[in-house]
Amino acid sequence: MRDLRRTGLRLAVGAAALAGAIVASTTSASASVLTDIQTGSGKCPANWVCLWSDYNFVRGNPAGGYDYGAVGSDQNVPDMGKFVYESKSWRWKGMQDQASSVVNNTGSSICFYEHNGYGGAEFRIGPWEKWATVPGWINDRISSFKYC
Amino acid sequence: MFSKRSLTRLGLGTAVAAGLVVAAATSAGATTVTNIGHGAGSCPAGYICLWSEGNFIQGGFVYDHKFGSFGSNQNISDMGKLGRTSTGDKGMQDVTSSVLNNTGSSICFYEHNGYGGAEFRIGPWEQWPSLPSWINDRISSFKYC
Repeated sequence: MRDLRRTGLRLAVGAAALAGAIVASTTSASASVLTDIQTGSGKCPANWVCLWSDYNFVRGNPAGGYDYGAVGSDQNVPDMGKFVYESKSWRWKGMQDQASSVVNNTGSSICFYEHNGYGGAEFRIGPWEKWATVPGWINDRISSFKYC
Repeated sequence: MFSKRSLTRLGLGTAVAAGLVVAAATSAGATTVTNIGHGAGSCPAGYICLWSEGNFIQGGFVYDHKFGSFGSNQNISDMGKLGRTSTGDKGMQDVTSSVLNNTGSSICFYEHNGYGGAEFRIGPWEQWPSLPSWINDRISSFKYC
């Protein structure tokens, strides 16, 4: 089903996404970002990559709610600081430099990076790996990630 | 002596009966849970769970007119009527795209209400992040089978 998912990508297509939500679609395939991932490693969708702002897959409240406490995606994310543009506050909402635990629910290796655009220090994890605590050198530093 | 023993028996019997009633009352309410969240880990033990999107993702609907996910530990003959709102019945009919069976029994999903039409059968403990296209967005009822 198409839905009213909370993603910048979806918001960008605006009316088209709304129309899709009304009409039952035939496919469930949709690449996007979820910003309402809850606490627990089991809360990550199948075939997705998820990140939590606290250790042990706990959804935190980073920056007093200005940033997301947990996010997931099934595609490369070059800029974790810009998931959704909040027009009311004129700022982007994301989860940059906040991740402390990650789950890889895909059959591919995933690389997390210190900077946007897959730059700086690289933290690579294998297929299906769950990290309740990421190494100290990358903790609160992840800014982008991709299949690798 | 004899009468005392009888009295004790009676007392025990009453206590057991009372305990049964309480236990039944507590568990009876928790048969269906709605909007359980994303992820396979959102499905309670002993439950069958369905999500409106693939990969166990809970979707959202215009005017919130359908549930994005739900789970039950019993047969559901009409998925269109899981709850009541001020505007009528609310359910999750014909939108399911992923299912999970957290029970030790096989489960059969059906195209129509009342366990009719095309049947999709899955085994105990199976997880289906995507469904065959012939049943995707078509499930309307399901039961232990």
